[in-house]
Amino acid sequence: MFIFSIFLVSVFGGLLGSVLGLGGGIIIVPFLTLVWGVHLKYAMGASLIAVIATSSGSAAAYVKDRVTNIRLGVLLEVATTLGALVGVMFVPRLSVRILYILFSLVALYSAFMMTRKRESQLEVLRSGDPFAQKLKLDGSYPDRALRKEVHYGVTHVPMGFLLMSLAGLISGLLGIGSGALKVPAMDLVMKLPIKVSSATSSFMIGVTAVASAIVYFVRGDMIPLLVAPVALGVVLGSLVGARFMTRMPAQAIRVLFIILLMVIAVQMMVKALSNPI
Amino acid sequence: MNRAISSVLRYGLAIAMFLIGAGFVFWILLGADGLVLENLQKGTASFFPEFFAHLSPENIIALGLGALILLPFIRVTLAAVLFLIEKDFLYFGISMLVVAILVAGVLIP
Repeated sequence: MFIFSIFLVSVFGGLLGSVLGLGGGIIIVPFLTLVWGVHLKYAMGASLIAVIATSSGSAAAYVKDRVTNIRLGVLLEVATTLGALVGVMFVPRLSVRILYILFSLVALYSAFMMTRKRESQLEVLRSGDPFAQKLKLDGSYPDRALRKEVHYGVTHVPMGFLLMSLAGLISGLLGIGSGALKVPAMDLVMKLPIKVSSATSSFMIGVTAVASAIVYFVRGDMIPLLVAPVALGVVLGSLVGARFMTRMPAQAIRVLFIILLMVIAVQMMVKALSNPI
Repeated sequence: MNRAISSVLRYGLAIAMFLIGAGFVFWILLGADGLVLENLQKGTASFFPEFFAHLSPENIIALGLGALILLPFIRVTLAAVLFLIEKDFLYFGISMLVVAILVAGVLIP
């Protein structure tokens, strides 16, 4: 029953994740901890594996279609992996209560970000940002909807780098991919087209999650029999999601996800404030 | 570069998921026991793989998990090599820095 329910929820998480461009981590961790009372460290380990699996799948597709900005991705991975390592080192030193509160806040923030309407931008001129030019970050991608090659510039590189370190830190602390933090950092701050932001984010998420996953693996907190149904479920869900993406009611799914995130935020906060935890 | 990286991710994922799936099915066929929810709740469970000691379902799954964890690692290393071939030394250096940070994750705990 326990295993079967984990599998089903993971399928659901993978499905939502692939339709909305987020990993399933933010659903899997609360399900394991709140519903089954699984210790946070095992839930995080399982979630990180789910994040690596789904992001490898979607990153493969985006990279092949040349939407991903590989240079920018590799550069920002320096920030996210460093952040993740620092985060994962701090986990044993922080009280579980603080981690639950942080998770609640991140879920709330993600819900808020999901309510924003995301519009795809048209042609963006060269940025003229000295960092972007020195680091050769400006790029282009073939936009299928517009049927042309879209050229874009990258701005505010140092600020983007800083925000990515923060996203990595959150990822390491909470065992999630924190795609909900990465995409806005690229989309709003660095002014990348939304498709490039999503693609580059999923490219980076795998490497960010690996920085923390290695630590869980070495510490012995990665329980194969718990992780397997999560990994299998999430990959199955994301495959189904990718196949039926165009036929799914995206708006309804988005609303459902926002409600779900708010419920998770409240439940995690209640758990954090309850005694004993 | 795009095609090579995409292929590594795609095939690597398939191999890892096959191992995890095979180990999991193997475990169910053997009677699906050994996972104690109480230990997971108390935080007293732990697992250290013994890949070559004996062929248990858990070790097969762990092998798949290892492959999955290795995947982004290989992807960054491949990017580094491809940047080097393109004579883009700046990005070769940046990719190698990411590899170094990941390796640090193995050594620190």
